[in-house]
Amino acid sequence: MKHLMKEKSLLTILMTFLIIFIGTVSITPLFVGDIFGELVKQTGALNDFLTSSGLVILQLNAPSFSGVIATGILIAVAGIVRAVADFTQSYVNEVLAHKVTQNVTEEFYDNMLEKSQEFHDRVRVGDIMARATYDSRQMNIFIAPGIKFLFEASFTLIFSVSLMLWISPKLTSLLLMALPFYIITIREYNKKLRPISQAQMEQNGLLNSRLQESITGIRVIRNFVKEENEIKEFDKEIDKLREINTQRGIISARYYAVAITVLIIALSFLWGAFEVTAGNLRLDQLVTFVFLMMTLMMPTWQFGWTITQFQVGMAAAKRIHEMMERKEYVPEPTSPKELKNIKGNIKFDKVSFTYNGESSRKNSLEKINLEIKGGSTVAIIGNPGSGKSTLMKLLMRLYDPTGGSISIDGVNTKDMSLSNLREQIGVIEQEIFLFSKTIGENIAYGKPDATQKEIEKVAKIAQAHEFILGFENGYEEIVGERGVTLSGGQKQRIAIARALLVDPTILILDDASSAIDAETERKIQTAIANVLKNRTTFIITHRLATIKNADTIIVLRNGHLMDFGDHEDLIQVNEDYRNLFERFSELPPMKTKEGN
Amino acid sequence: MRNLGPKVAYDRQYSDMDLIKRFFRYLGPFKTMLVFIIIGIIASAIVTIFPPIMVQNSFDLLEAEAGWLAVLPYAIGYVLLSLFLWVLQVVVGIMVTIVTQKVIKQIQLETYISLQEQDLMFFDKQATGQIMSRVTNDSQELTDMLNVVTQFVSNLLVLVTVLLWMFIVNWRLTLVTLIMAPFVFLVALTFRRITRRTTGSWRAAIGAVNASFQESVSGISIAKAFGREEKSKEEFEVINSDTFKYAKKRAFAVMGVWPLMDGISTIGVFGITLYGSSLIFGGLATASTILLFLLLLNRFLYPLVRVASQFSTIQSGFAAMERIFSIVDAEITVTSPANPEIKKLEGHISFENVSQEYEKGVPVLKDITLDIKSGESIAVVGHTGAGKTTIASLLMRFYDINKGSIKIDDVDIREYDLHNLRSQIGLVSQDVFLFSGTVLDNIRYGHPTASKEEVEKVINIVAAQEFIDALPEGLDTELGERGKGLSAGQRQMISFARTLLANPKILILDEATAAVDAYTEWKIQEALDKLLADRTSIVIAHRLTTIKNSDRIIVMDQGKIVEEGDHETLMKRKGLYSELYETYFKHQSAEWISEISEVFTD
Repeated sequence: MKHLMKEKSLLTILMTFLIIFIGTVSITPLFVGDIFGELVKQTGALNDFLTSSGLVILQLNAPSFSGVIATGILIAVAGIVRAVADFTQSYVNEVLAHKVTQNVTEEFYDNMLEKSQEFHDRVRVGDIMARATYDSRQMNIFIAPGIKFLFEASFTLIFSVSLMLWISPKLTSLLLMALPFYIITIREYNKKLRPISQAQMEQNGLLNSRLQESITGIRVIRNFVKEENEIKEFDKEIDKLREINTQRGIISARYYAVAITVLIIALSFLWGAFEVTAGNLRLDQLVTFVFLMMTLMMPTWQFGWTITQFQVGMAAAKRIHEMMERKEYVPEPTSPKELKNIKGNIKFDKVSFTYNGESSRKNSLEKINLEIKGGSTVAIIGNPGSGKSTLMKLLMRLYDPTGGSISIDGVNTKDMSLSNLREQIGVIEQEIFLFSKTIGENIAYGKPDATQKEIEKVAKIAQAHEFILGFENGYEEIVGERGVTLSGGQKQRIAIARALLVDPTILILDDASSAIDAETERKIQTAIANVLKNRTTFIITHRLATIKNADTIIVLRNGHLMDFGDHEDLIQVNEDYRNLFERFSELPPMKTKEGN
Repeated sequence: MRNLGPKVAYDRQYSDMDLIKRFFRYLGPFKTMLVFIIIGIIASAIVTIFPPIMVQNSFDLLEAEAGWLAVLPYAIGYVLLSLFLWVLQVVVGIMVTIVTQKVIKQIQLETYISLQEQDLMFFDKQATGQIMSRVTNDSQELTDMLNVVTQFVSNLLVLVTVLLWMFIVNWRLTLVTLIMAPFVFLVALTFRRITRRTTGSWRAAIGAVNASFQESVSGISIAKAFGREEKSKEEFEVINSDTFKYAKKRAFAVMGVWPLMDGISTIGVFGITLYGSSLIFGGLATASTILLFLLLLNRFLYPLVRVASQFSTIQSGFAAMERIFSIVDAEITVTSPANPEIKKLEGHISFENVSQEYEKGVPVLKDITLDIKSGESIAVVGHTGAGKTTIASLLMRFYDINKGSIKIDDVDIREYDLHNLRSQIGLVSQDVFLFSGTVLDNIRYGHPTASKEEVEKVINIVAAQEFIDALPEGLDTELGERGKGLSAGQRQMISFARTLLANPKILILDEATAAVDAYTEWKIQEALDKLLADRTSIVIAHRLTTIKNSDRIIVMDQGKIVEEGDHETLMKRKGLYSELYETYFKHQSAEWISEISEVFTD
């Protein structure tokens, strides 16, 4: 609604042409009547015909042949004006609808980008997409013929009803008595339709994700010989959808307030006939009245349609708004401290974190205390789910800690603006996400104005330059379904280049891939070693060489900080850590650690 | 529904007649309903004419001052007839809905079933979005077509009736009126064509918006990490306003058609009036005839335009039907034989002169001969692209081989029942796919009736107990799409557990623990040793420890087996294995750790 009101100028144009349109529609019959006025009188048989068509209202004086031509021209002009007005108002209505949809989609998009990482971890992409596509389309449909219908129907209704009142207030009031029944019917109809439309949308979404899953997971399905099962499940789901669609169809088919309308017309007619017999009403007045009653059919249908679509549109709008209004943002400080040329000293002070902030759930991280000197290299190791990645996401403020604080160069990260904070941090994610753009654009993602030279420079450091040139289109090669498929190692190197291009003071490398051959690994290690200097680097890795050479090694276990120190310290005190290395080499005997 | 990807243009494989015949087969089960529907449509077309006539007659009576009681039967008749008409329309409407929905469901299901049976090659060649659009968009177009067909028929009926009536009343005027018909039809068709083109580019623009939206949401953490939100918003704004532009163009065409028809019909009114007037003055027509014509004009034009536009909806329905059928009919090569072998496998595998190429002229495997004894554990090593994964895919019969034969227990795998074969082979691959549902659902995917104890046992084997316990709801934690919310290592552990629970006789591990940390992997390895004892296993390995634990190492290079033996023997040969060792595995050993350390200590 709010969006609709923004488009005042469009609305004004729409209204103007609507009125012109309705005006011309109303006067055309007058002209037609004009021509035939005289001819009507001559042919008695025509009266029968006119009665059924209602044109008797327009008994005017008959002209000569030249008069016929003149009026004919008038009809043509009125027709053209009407056509132009009709087109303009319909077109403007469409434009209005699309404009509003565009704005809503854009706002929704912006809003989704601003939502916290936690929100995105929890909410399915498919769910968001369903709202961005299907729901916004429903809103569009409500606006596009909806508004037009609403006004057309209102104007026609007012016009017809006032004419009817003028002819016979008695008959009109009889007719109006039927109104409550009519309203009740429509309301009942909508009450039935609303939950069904909702169910339909949901089932559609469900079916879509199911379908997508069974296509992307086809190998697993084959592997476990679950085809029959998948088909059975899918059958069940589409059958549900069919059921819903059928129900909806049945409700729609049943609805034709026709039953009531017909009764009313017949009753009014009988009553009218009675009045005519009694001499209270002229016959031609009754004819006109019946004709006007018939003109009410279209607006009532339009009202019905609009109200239905209004329900659907509003439900859709609600779904979009409901998602936008979830207050899941990482809050920005009101007066942020701007950090420049930072050293990269990082302090974790009793940092705890629970997903979704629910106390009943287990902690992902518990009271982590860490102090890291600027420029040092930190290796983080631990079992899957120990909180390694989470710790890094907290540093970037993709999440906020539920307890404790994190500071960079003594400034609490919560006091920095998000952009200022994230500018300082470069990240190479565990699962590399590349956009379906060219390789060059992917590397330049964090710095879109980078020159080709800069891009190539970081690609060389990341040992990616060579294999990129191996592609047919080099840096212009498109990544993804439409282009080249990259191996895990190649993706990783592109991600390294991407992170290096923004030249961050703090670098996070979440390194999951181990399927790189030693030569490439040596290259990457060399590259990383080169860029480590003057940067605080966190490396989550399984690569023993990297671990061993880190200044500090953090051992996490199920959200707890187990040990903290350099390689020499840890082989002495941490059994898991020691086990890791012992498989490859003889280590000096372990120290017994108190309380461990 | 989402519009996914551009539609692929297919060569016409089916004639319209084929499609119609085929479609009628879907309607077969609903014969009685169809008869009712057809009768209903015709009946309501006929009945529609009566109420106006009745109204007309009753007015005659009133004019003759017959009194209101004389009109009463007409009023009652009118109500009854209208009610009858209404009931008729409701019944027809409901029947059409029921039949349409059932037919669509049937077609969707058949498409889905054929997808499930399709060769994997099919999925390799087409993007997911494209395939999805067959089941969603195309079947939607088909539904639209079905809904339109009934309207098309009744419009045609009305058109013919009106035309007949007009001819009977005055053939001269009818001919004059008919002059308009080709113009109207042509304009309608042209507009429809423009509409279709503009709708096409509008849909494509919407597709681009959706793709961009989806990608942004999927890659949200990267956007956040790089502080790219603002830039992304700007980019989106551009794509989004493109859609608006196309929507406007489309609206122009779509909204243009009716007013234009209105304009044409005005000219028609003008023409009929003039010509009609001259006829009257010539005594060849009466005024009432002309009035009748004017009134019938719109009843004639409206269905005509409708028919023109419905005609093309039907055409695009045909196109959709064709795309759907081309999937349903796609030849499937990997199928169970007529008399399939069904038995419990022992696990003796032999590859005999197996060659394979997915694309013509690009061999992936060349003349592989390999015998794996029941219960044996072999490791396969080689550079990327050596053909290791292909061995696994072929054994699973994801693809059929071009040359040679693969036998299990001395029976060619093509002679086994496909399900019997695959259900006894477990494949854990590096690229993990988890379904939405709980962790437990996923682990039990291949064995839904497994007991709690069995599940716990495999969880312990893959050392996943610890992290599963730490999940918010433990085993009952709902996973997002493709296991969102879990790390790559955790997903691999779940996928591993899933395969183990299915208890396959033959186990293929294709870099199964690549993303698991070294320590956990070592624990898995220990547990696995016991588990592998009575199974045949093929391990495509990246870790030194795994290789050393196997009975035999197969070294592959460019689609060939170049060496085989145990670690010591192979190292002594100083061939590819020792080279590979230097390249791939040495960096997991202690010496290399100190060697590479120099890089850091510079």
